[in-house]
Amino acid sequence: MLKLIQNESIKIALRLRTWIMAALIVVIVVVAAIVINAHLKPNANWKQTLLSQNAQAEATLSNPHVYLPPIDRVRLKGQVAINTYDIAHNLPPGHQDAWVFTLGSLSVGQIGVVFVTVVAGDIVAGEFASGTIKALLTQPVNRTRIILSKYVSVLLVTLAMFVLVLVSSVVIGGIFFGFKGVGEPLVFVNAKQMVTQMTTGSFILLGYAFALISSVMIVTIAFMISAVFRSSALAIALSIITLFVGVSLVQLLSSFTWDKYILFANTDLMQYITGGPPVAGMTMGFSIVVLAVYFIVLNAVSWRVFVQRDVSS
Amino acid sequence: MSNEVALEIKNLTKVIGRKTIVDDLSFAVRKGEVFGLLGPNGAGKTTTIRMIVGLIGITKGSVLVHEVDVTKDFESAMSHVGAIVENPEMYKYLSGYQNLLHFARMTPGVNRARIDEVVELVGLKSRIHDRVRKYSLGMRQRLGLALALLRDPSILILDEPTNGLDPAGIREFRDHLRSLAAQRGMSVIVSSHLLAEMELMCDRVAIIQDGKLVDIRSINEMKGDAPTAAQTTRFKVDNHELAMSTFAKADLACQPAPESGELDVVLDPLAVADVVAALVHAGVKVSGVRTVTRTLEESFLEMTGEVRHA
Ligand SMILES: Nc1ncnc2c1ncn2[C@@H]1O[C@H](COP(=O)(O)OP(=O)(O)OP(=O)(O)O)[C@@H](O)[C@H]1O
Ligand SMILES: [Mg+2]
Repeated sequence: MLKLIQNESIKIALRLRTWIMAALIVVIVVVAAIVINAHLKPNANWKQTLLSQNAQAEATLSNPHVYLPPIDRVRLKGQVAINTYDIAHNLPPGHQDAWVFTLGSLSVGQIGVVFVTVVAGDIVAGEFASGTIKALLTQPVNRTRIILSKYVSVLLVTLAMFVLVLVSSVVIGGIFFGFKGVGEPLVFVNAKQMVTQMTTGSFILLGYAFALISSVMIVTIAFMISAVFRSSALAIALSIITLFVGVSLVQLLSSFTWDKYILFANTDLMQYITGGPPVAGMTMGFSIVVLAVYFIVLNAVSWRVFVQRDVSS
Repeated sequence: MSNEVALEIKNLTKVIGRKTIVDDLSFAVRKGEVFGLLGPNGAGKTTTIRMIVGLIGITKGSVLVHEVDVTKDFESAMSHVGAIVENPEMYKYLSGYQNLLHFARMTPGVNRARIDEVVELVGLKSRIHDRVRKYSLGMRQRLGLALALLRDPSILILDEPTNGLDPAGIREFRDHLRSLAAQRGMSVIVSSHLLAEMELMCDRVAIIQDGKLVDIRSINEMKGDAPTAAQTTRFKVDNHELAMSTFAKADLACQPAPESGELDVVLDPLAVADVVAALVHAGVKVSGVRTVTRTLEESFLEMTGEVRHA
């Protein structure tokens, strides 16, 4: 089995596009650091600015003539609480260091997911397109082992992508902004709309771990479409579309009780740490169970179709 | 060649949709035998081979590799089989060597020494580190053969293997197959619609049409060249009239040969010398005598009913 995974990994690693995508990720991180660095201007009067910001927010919140959607109301309250905390602890806002930067790089991970989807969507379909599937399936290795090795390799690539984002962000963030704030706590509004704090390091790990979990779901969808329809283009396009449409769909359907069973209501486990779930009453345990069910069903479909399929043409 | 059976196919049937593509096919391939699947385009040769190597499901019947059912224990059955199905497709972005290394990792016990050995055997040594993208069709065929031979299979299955080889390549390939069968006792199954090719390569041939087995014949009996049987003998003579009357006197029916204006006579090989003597005696100049074997093509066309009108 290890040799099969080795084979699949080598096939991914020996393709030029893999390295172009990896290089792009690093380039994006560097560009982000440059842009952030250019906009960093220390403001000597920051306490003054925060205080007036807070006064304005309080006024808006207490004005009965201003309509605010509940989400914005919560956000504004949170901002006030964070500002108050910053003033009390003498923390200038917009502070940057390697850790804050790395946390921000999670959005680079979102672009990375698109790249990994390309690999996942091609790994089965590509063998059919090139005809190499015939040679692959006439070896003394049964199809279950073949598809498992391919799936494991896709997971490894996903993991490698996040490690690349994390490591390059820490290094590049360190070069640009220094490492001084490691132990600093991060202040945020938690799922119960209370201002909470956590060390930045833990928050980063949690953020990356949860992003990895949601990426695994997207990649699993791409892999399933690839195995079922034998078309890389379809697999890549459909899964990227679901990636972008999924979350809006959940918001659109939030008035239905079954909304919480939609995959994308559950993919972002970070919602239980900060912000809150899209449907009231959802818990992290619930989401984990829903994710596990989707995970099993998607993989069962991939496996079943791949193992049974007639390979002709 | 022994009588030990290497591969046995029993009542093999494939139905796709409402169409029966392979219909109740049964045959057995012996150890050390080169066995041909012969049939016109669309006869079901490739479909049969796909079922043997497990690429497509079997509707009915079974495939036994050394008595192991392919559908029951795929891995152990396939460890004895090397195959190329239609064109040998490889990873184009890898070199020939990397391709072989990739497939070597899928079979226990295949090491780099073995890879070098097969590369040498198929004559691809000088280009093996080039990317497959740069290979010609013939080179890809050779790489395909190297891959099929990699795990030293006891059964080699090749679908239209000489596609894309030049005449010298075809001859070399034929010699490879014959020696693999004769020296290593490998059983080889080749499919083709090229009749002349089968004639030169195979010990036995299964003739397939519309998915059905028409007949299984050994090449020798098909050509009918058992040494004592009467054969068509073609005489090249200067004077046709005189030659024809000489044949008539000897009670031999003669016919003008199709193209060159020579004369064909059916007679016992042992009688050839006497007939030539008679011709010379009658004053006919004989400039050539040769026996005309019935080609496989003629037998084949006769059997599949596509009779050629002479
Ligand atoms: N997946 C499929 N679905 C429907 N029909 C098929 C399928 N595969 C093959 N056929 C049909 O089955 C018949 C046999 O095809 P097959 O490829 O086995 O022929 P063949 O003997 O290998 O021919 P050739 O000499 O052209 O290679 C053909 O009529 C073909 O159209
Ligand atoms: Mg064919």
